[in-house]
Amino acid sequence: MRKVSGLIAGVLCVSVAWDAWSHRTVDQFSFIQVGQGDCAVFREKGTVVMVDTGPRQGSFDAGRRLVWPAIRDLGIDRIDCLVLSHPDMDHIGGLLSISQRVRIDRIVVSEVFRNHPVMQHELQSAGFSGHQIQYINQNSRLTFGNLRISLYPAPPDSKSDNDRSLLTVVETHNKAIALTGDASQEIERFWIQQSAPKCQIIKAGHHGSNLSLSTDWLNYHQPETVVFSCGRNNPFGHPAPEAVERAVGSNILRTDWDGNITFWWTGTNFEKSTTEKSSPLMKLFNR
Amino acid sequence: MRNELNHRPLIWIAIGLGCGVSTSFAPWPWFAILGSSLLFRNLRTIVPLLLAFTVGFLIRPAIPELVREESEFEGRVSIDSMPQRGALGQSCLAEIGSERYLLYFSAEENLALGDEAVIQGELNALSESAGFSSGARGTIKVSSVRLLSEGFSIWRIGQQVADHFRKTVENHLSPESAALVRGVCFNQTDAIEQSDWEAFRRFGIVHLLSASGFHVFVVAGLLLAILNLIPIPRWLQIAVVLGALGLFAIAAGLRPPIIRSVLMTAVALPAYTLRREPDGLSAVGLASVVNILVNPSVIVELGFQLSVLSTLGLVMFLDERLVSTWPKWKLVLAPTLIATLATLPLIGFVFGEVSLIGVIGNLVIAPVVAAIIVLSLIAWILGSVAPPLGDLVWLLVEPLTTFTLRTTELGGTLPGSLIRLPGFSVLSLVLMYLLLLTFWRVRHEKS
Repeated sequence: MRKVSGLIAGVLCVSVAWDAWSHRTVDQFSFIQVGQGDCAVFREKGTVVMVDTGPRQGSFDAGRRLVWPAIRDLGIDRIDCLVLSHPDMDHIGGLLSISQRVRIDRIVVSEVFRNHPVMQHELQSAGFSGHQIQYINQNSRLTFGNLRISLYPAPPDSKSDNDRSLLTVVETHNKAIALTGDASQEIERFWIQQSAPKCQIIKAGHHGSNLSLSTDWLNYHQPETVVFSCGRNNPFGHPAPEAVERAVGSNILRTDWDGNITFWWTGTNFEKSTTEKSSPLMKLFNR
Repeated sequence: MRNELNHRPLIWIAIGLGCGVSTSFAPWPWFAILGSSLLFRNLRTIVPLLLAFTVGFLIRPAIPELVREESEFEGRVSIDSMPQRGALGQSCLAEIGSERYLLYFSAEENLALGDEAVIQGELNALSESAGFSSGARGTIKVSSVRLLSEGFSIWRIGQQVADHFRKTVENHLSPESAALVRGVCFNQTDAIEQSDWEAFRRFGIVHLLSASGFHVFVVAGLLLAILNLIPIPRWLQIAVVLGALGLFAIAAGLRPPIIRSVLMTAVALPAYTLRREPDGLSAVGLASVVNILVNPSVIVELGFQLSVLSTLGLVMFLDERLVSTWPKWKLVLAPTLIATLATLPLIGFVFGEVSLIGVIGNLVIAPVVAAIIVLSLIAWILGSVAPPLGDLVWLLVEPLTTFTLRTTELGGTLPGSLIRLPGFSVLSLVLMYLLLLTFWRVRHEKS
């Protein structure tokens, strides 16, 4: 009887270990439901890139409450590169909690925020300094494993922190995804002039504010999908009905309604799933 | 193991019922009920198991269609849970027709479970971190209330008891200590600082912060000790204890872990009087069945799940025949270790991190928290009769709360206090518990 119990225990241990290991291997990217803020995570062949970390406001810390559970579900325990678009707390508030739970190898920030007090405070609180932070002052292209990132700073004379947001384009398999932080329509036009890569999926700027997601930007990309990363009950009325109206024609997804929006690489294409509507059977095997 | 379960119908009724109501949330209960049927392999067991599953399936909570857009609301509601105090006032569940909503209203409003009222307010979506929230569709920030009818007066009395305790504690202790005492005695966790929550979590003793089975155990012990001094028949003592525990459960907000503990006490104490051996497993089964029948959505509440798992661990592994041969150090260490091990996989699955020094944390802090509960309740009751005596006892509580808070703060910073785990699936979670079950079988055969 003891031998049988030992055998059962052994099989169960191997099954658990296989389960914990296996779901790290799926290539995917997700727009995480963080409330009123932004956080997207990309993984290809084990390399992970994150763009923004979600908000922290009062006792609510999206990094701990929402981002950490979501990336843990995806089997992520290390981030090779974290891009911080601009120093608003709805974009970088989760940095501290995430850095306490996951190893972050490199942080990428626009050069214009090198001495920004909020950005510096958050980076220092999370224990990042010197060589771990890469400041971007010109259009750049970085490669992490199979993931390719194009970074486009805003013009240096931009008036607000929102308009100084860094454009991040992530290329994974056959898709390019654009994330514009909180940049306005004017900056989107600037990036069009800079010949930013055309993308199939774009995250609406500034959580779907009417001041972002210009018709020019949409016409330039002709995106298959537009993702609005905004919070339920947000006091700003994001996404603005006008911005959503402009996106009609593309597949519209909203983190406030759809939850975490994940695209899984099937081997030939990406398949979409959302936590609000996904099949519960997926959850059984974490797939 | 099969024999053990075959003789405890309440356990397989609880399993069937639990699987039935869980079909709303996942497909795994269908596999689980199939597996359980194969395990029992006995028609006398399988038929009631499947009947319980069918009942569970019929009463399973519906997944609500969530409110998405903000709007004004005016209408009749019936209050569906005990109001809880929070940083922004009070909150409770309310039913409007067949739909549930989470109500937020000011601390001054006097609403209680079972009340019918007409309210005006703002209808909003649930927050992103709200989870299932007992099946609520959305939230209503109440701006005005017109009470139509009151529910049972016992609910209001429970609320008044809790309110009286809150005011007394706030008058006698520093804000930080008062927050802790209110939390551990009556589950009033609204004033506990975020940093204290974090420290308790890191030290693996966060369950001590809000009233649960441990608290019911301490309160029952205190009441029995007091009643033993009074020359009344044993059955009357037990009736008084159960009545007082019922009121305590109401005052503490009728949380699932408290209902479970009170029900288990209600089984164990009369068994003791009737000189019958109480059966822990059946008591857990009964408590779970009642909890699920009263509120099917309790099945996805973490408090209920942890409470059932830790109690199951204790009743399964603290076998009386084994315990009687154990040395004292093992007796002290075993309950904490077992409760920690029984809940570790679920905590790891939900939070992704577990506290390995929780065993030490519990050994150091749980006795102090028990003393805080006992002294606070004595001070409160004594203070109502003879205020100077109550004041004297309150003086003893303050150093104990300070010790608890400072030790927890320190303990939470110890290296290795929190271990992060890789993500794993529900399937792995089930496998982990099956693994623990295989140990139970071996131990039981040894005994």
